[in-house]
Amino acid sequence: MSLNKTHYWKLILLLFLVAPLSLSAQTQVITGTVTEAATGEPLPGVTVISKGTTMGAVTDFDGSYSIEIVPGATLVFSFVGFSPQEVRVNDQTLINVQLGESTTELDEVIVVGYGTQRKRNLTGSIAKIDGSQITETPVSTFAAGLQGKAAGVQIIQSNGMAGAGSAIRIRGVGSISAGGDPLIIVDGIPINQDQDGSYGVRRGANTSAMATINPNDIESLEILKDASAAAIYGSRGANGVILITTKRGKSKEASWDFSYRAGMVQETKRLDFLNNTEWLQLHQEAYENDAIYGSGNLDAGAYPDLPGGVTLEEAMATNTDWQDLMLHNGFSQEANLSFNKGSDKLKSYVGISYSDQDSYLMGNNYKRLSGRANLEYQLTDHMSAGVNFTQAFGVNNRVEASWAGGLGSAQSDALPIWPVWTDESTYFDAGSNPVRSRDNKEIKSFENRSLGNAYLNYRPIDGMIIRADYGLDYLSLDENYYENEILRSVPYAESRVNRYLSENGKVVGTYDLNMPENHYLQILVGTEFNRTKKGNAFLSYDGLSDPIYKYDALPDSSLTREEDNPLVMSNSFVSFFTRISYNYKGKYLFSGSMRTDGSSRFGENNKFGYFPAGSVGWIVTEEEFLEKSTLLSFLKLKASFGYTGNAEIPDLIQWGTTNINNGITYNNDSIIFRTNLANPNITWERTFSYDLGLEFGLLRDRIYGELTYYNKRTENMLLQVKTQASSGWAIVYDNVGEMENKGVEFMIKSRNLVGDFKWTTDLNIGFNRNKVLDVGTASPDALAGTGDTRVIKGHPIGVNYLVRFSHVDPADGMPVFFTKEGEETKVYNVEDRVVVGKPYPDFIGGINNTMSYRGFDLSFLFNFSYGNQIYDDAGKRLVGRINGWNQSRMVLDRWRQPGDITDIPRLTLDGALSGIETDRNTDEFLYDGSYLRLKQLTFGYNFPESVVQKMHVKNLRLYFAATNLLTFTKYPGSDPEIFRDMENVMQKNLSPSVTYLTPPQAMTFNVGLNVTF
Amino acid sequence: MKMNKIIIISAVVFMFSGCENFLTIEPTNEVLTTEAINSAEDIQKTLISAYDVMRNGNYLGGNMWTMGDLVSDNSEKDFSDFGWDQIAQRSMNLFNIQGRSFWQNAYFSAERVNYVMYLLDHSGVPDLIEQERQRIEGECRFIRAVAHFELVRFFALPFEADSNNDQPGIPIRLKPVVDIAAATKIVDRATVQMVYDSVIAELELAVDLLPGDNGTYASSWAAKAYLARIYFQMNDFDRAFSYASDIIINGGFALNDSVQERFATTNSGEAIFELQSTSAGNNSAGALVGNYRQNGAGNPGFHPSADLVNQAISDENDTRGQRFYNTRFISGTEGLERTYCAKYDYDYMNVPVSHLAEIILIRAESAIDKSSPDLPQAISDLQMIRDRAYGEGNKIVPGNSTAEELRNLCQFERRLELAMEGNRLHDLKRTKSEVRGLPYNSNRTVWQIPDIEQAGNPDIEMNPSSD
Repeated sequence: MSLNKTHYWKLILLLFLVAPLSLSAQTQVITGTVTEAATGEPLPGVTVISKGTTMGAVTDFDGSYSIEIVPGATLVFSFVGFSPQEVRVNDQTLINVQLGESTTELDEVIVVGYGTQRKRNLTGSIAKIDGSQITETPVSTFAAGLQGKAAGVQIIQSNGMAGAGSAIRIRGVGSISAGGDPLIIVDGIPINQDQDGSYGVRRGANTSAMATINPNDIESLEILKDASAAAIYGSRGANGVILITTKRGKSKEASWDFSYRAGMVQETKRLDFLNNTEWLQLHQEAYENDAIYGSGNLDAGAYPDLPGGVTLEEAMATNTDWQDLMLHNGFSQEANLSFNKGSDKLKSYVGISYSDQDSYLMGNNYKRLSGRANLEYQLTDHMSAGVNFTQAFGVNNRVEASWAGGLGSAQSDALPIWPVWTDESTYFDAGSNPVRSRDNKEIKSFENRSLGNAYLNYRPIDGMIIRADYGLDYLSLDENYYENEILRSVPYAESRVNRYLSENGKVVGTYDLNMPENHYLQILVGTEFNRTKKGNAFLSYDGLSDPIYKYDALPDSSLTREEDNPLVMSNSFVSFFTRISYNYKGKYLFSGSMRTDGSSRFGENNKFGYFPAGSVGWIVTEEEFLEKSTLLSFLKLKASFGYTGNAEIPDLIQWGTTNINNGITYNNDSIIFRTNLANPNITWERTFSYDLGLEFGLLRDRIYGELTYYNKRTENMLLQVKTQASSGWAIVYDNVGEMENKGVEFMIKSRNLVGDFKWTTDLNIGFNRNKVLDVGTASPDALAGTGDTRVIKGHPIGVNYLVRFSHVDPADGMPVFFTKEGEETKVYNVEDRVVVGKPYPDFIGGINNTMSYRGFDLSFLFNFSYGNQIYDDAGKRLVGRINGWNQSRMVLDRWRQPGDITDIPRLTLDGALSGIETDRNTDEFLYDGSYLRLKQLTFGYNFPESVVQKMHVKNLRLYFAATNLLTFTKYPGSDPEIFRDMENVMQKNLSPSVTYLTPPQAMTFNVGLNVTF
Repeated sequence: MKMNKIIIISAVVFMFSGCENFLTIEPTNEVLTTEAINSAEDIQKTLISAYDVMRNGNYLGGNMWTMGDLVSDNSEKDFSDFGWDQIAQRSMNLFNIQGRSFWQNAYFSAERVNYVMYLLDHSGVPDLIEQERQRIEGECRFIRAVAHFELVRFFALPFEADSNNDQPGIPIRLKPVVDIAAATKIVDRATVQMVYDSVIAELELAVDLLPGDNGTYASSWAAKAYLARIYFQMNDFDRAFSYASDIIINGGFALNDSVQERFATTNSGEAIFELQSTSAGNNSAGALVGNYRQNGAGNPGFHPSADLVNQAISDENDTRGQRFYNTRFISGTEGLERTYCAKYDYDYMNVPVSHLAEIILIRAESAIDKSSPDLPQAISDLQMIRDRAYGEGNKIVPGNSTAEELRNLCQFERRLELAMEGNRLHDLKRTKSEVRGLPYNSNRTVWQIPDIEQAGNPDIEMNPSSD
């Protein structure tokens, strides 16, 4: 019989309609109730299928079902999060089933792009982190909670300041000038995430837009790593995708959760500097060295003037420990209260949270108040609607850092011979005085984020769901800066505002087709649009007595500059996508997807891009020859390939523009000038990647592991191609570069002991090798980060490009370098720079051990990074250039007299006289950045049932948690996890593992309690 | 089921129809270049934007002058800075800040006028009359010739009259960059001879195109003044004499009564071409004033060398010694004295790019060494300068001076008359004299091709970094 598709559907429909009406003698009806094994509670929504047929039913709100079968059939009961059960029907008509919670990894539900899937059936590479793993330890942004928890995912926190940001790198860095962070999606909305690296950059430090997302709201987080998982996000998936799902109402009875945590914050390591006596002694020695060994006519017996106009007596009597004045033990606390109810028609999760976090820098603090409501209502049997909404307010009291002052000054140009005060009411101001700056400046940022979406789910027929979704993300950042009359004769106040408003809408239809036995097919079709408006404003005033935010109305007379750029459309995306997932007998798995993206960012000649991907999997243990194996309980082989893109390029660079409203006049005549050259070919960066992987489970999945090899090749990299300056144009944007990332990821989760004493070990490790394949005609200096990292063809991204240091000549204490060709020379020449190191590690990973016994639990997470070099950009000043800076104690090993063997050259005050180039960039200050760190340690106690019931609560937990407790590293600086301050995307990609007086990470000690009632 | 299909299909159709507009987002605070030029006035505004670049503090607005004086023996500095330190020590490398900014701005001005030339032929504006067109073209050629000439004097070994000057010079940029391909096209360094040839050709065209009176913008006299300067630098005394003479006789310029006036007054009778300033907030000479001004609260970063000051005050009648220098206490110290430059003590002032005094000195020295020497003319010109500087009759040029004596006297007066105006380095190189202890053709007195140039042309020939 040849049936075409329409007939086929009609036939099935007829069967469904007819079947319940005809009780043929050949079938029988089975009824029963499905309950949860642990609690005895009825389980609604359980799927009951007659194995091998299309007969199916779903349990209702009481857990009851009714299904018509042929005698001898086998019923399969399955429900997400629970282990499925099969019951063969003999002659009973009542079959009650108890389902136990699934303990294997493989039954976990994983959120994938626009849907969910069972882990067992995944053919892509996705890591899942449960929300509780993020909130177990104190973190201010969720990214910090991911460190060391997913193979191949590197999180580098920039520093330990309050609200500090991190860079997230999935399988290495995928771009040079375009954003290197993954796309972050919260409940289906791609959010504003400071992709251009300039968010909140002020006075030597960056803050993070992610600080307004409350980690406590997160239910689960999935990291999509390979093409088949991320390609459905098309032109935005090349760096991977992070899907965040916030908490839903799911507890059957209304329940409240309250948690409170308080703790102390310290720096991970404090550096050692000279005291006043030592500094004076070395300063004098440097002068005498210049007199004895240098050219010029200095008198070796004289005393040079001391900086800051202090006399020798004053200097010998003053020993200020500036670091001590900048650092303290900070206090941080956080409280969360949430309500959760999820049965009947309404699922609701409502929460409110307050956190108040000091950093170890005095005066630095971040407060956040946020609330969330996630509601879903079952309108009819076929339709549900929901809304997710969060509002957060953050206030960040900032301090200067790095080159701008604060701790950076204390570690550099604030000399120990200078006092804080010259008398009772006057600050010392003839030199750097970070206490004076901090006391008389106010740097305060106000953040406001509203994020929400509303959706409708419609199930027209069994197996099909159509979802329409609309969301908004609004983010505003108001940075206030104020200097009072002690610092400036006329106080200066400034307010700088940045605003983003994004809209996102989509319609997605998913259909699980009714297939003949052993086949499973799901089709997904969807369309999505996204657009973002950006705006900013700037105000500055002279002569105010307070910062701008304290005023309701500001005096016009003091206004010195005002700019207001209201929100205007900045970028837009339109997409169409489809995915087909198929498996045969749960054994052979196939998935294919295609996405088309168009964006306003892409030039007119390249508006739309196509991103196909495909993957296959074979669950080998389903085959007969492995079914009986007791050791190998699960083995899946998988492979995937596909195209993804990176659209994080500036919004408007395709246009050739001319500025006609610049307000500049020459000779009272106005001028106009071109500002950008047109490039209608601007397009997204494109990555082709393929993955080969295997997943295994041993001993009934007590040990579960994954091993993956991946290969990603990125082309069309958008480079800020530096032109010859003689062309009159400094840079042009063009898609010219190529880069590859290859690596291996391995993870293993072992439930070592499962009795009364439980012990689980999680290990993940990711090896990545990055290589830049093509940068067009760019010279090494054309593509640079802060701190002398460069992009050079044939090397990993961000290599250190420095002159090699050989030794110190014992005869005269002068440094000896290597020329490019390897010969020794005392002349420092930038042309002798060669590639000497790289900022991204060879491998990273984490080991987490969790143990529990009778209510007590202990877990500790070590994370490690190996094979990167850290360049200390301030090193050349801190070790040997004592002119105007304090010195690291490393300088005590310097060369002092002929015959000394040491690595630290002769001290000098004046490079012109001594011939020692003190502004040199060499590998003297390039260090091995590998480290092993005890990242998290948690010790907790869950009070037993008996106690808990007497208190009329459902759960009570007390715990102690510490972060960054121990660090093992050869790096002599303050912290091997480091990231320089940056001002644009390229710097963000090229500046990890570089420090310039960058503050270290924070070490915290906390106690907390969680109560559920 | 039908309803769902309708919903999906209508959503898709809606998406597609609005697609093109939805995905076209143009900048709001600027206009598209293709729509920006609609009248002759727009072209004029684009031309004036080049003047705005010329007066940049890193180019003609001041630092270019100070660079030359510091690397030689007219200026010294009192502070430490990465770039200026290198200049004082004659160890400029490709990262030298002042060199880099000067290069960038000079070429920036050239690119702006290259684009104006392009607009003259391609903009299609309806109201551009021929006379205006010629004037605009003249100004463009002038501006870019000036840029190339000033650059080649700093970034290449000096022009030598008896050589073929095929040492590497600078890239010659006479074509506009209108698209990405043009911006990334490699242009190598032309030889010094080629640069001089190009500059001279451009200026000669400018002389014909420009009117004699162009308000405060470049006129044909400005072009001739530069030609005089260039030929003088080349030691082509015949031509230098010819152009200088033309300006002195026919230009309608006259020396001011006092030596200070060309700085105190904008567009004085002596001014041939100045970059204009209208107020302290619109000060073309900001960098010059910032480097030297000494009548304010603090101390300027630069001061004249002792050698220069000694020469300036050697004759008690020399009003330049009295007026251009001021010895005072260094503020913030107890009793230390220093002699500062007092030429630029103004809230704002024009930048005197070329003026009559320089032209007279050029004619004087050229008269001595041109193919048919005219010593009386030299004496007469030198006397004109001296009469203004020392007071009439206070320092007579001996009528029987030999050529060599006259030459020395001219060079002496030149140094004092044009002190701190950026000429010293080039004068020393022209006369093959030592530059503060280094030979006139030392590689260390030549700036290195900046990193921003090499970045776009990694194979560009860099200058040797030492001798």
